[in-house]
Amino acid sequence: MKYLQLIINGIWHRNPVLIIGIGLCPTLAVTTSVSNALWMTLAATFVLVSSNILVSSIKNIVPSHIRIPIFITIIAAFVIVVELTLKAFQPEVDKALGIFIPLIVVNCIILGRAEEFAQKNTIISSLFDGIGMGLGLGFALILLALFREVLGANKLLGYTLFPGMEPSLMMIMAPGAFFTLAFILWAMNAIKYRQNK
Amino acid sequence: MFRTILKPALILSIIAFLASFTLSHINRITRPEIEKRLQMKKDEAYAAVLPSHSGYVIIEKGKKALVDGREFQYTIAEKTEGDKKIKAYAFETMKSGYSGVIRSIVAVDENMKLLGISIIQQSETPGLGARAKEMASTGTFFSHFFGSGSQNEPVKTQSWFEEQFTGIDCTKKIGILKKGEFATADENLKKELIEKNSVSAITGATITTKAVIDGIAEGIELLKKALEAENPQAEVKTQ
Repeated sequence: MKYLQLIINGIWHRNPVLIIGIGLCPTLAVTTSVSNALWMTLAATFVLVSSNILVSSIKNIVPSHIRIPIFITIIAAFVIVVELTLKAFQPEVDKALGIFIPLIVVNCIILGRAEEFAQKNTIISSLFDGIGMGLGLGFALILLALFREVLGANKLLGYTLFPGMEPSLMMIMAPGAFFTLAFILWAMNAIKYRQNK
Repeated sequence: MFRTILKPALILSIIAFLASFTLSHINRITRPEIEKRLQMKKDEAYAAVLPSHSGYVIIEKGKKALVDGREFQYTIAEKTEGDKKIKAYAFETMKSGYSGVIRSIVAVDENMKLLGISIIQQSETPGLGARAKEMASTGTFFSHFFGSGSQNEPVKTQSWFEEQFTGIDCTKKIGILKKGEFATADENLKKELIEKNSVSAITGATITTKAVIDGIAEGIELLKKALEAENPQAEVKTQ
């Protein structure tokens, strides 16, 4: 029950992107298409879960004043694993995501969860926290990408939706990401407000 | 002393060692695959710019020449037409685009007319500049999803952006026109582009378009110099 609660927290009550508001860089940058969002979620979740587990398992031997360099080393190692694997076996994805794969190292969600959760909790809890936060990130990314890809490129998963329709270029560019994010936050807050009333 | 300096240093070293140990193994597994893909991509690009149906056969690969103190590599292809032998040249060129380097393989015939280009590396914005590699397709999401129509489209080796470079004259300046997408262009537009020695920019990504064109121009300059150095008597057409 406790573990299910951790996952639900990650997706809804403490969604890293939509509630806490961290990890916005990839959120705004890679949500131009749903497939990019999916691969980004997969990559980030893998790093998040692995680093959470490792940080949690070595929490007792790490002196607190050098914990940040150690966390960063662990996270960077996992990111390079992801990067090399994608380069070798999914070159198309690597090409599409480009710089944002190496940039997972500095994603606040991952370092944030290591610092805030994994170093204070058990390995199993950290595992579920990682999965929950990963799903939360995925929920936000895919929701954003759905709107942006359909409105901005007239496509879904790379296939044209309505032949002949002129897509709105703005939705693919940075302002489109901000507008969509604002509307999603508005909708989320409206839902939360009604729940609380 | 031990608690504040030695112990942290030791722990950090152990973790750094373990990390690099793991990564070196991952690198050993993935390296051959990555290199294989790069080579495959280059071979594919050469095949796309010098297709077999054009009649050109590659006779010398990666010929080296020293131009302005820099090494320049080009590939020579040849085809026989009647009793004449016509040469074509292909080379790799790169230029900074909107984000990162755009690397492309360019092929020209003897008169510096483009036979074709193929972009092999780019990290442009997805949805904008990255569309330089987008294949023209008339298929839609629904037709793919429900399995109707457009399944029998011929497999393309060049994107619509690359396609429009074929036939452009490199002795003149290559212009950029903003005429919308070449993918859906009609015959009139294609004719107009060739007449004006221009290509149609990718919507919202003029910088990418310009970078590709500048890359070609730079490569052509180097190629001309390399050819002149090779046989000074031969007349290389310049304007």
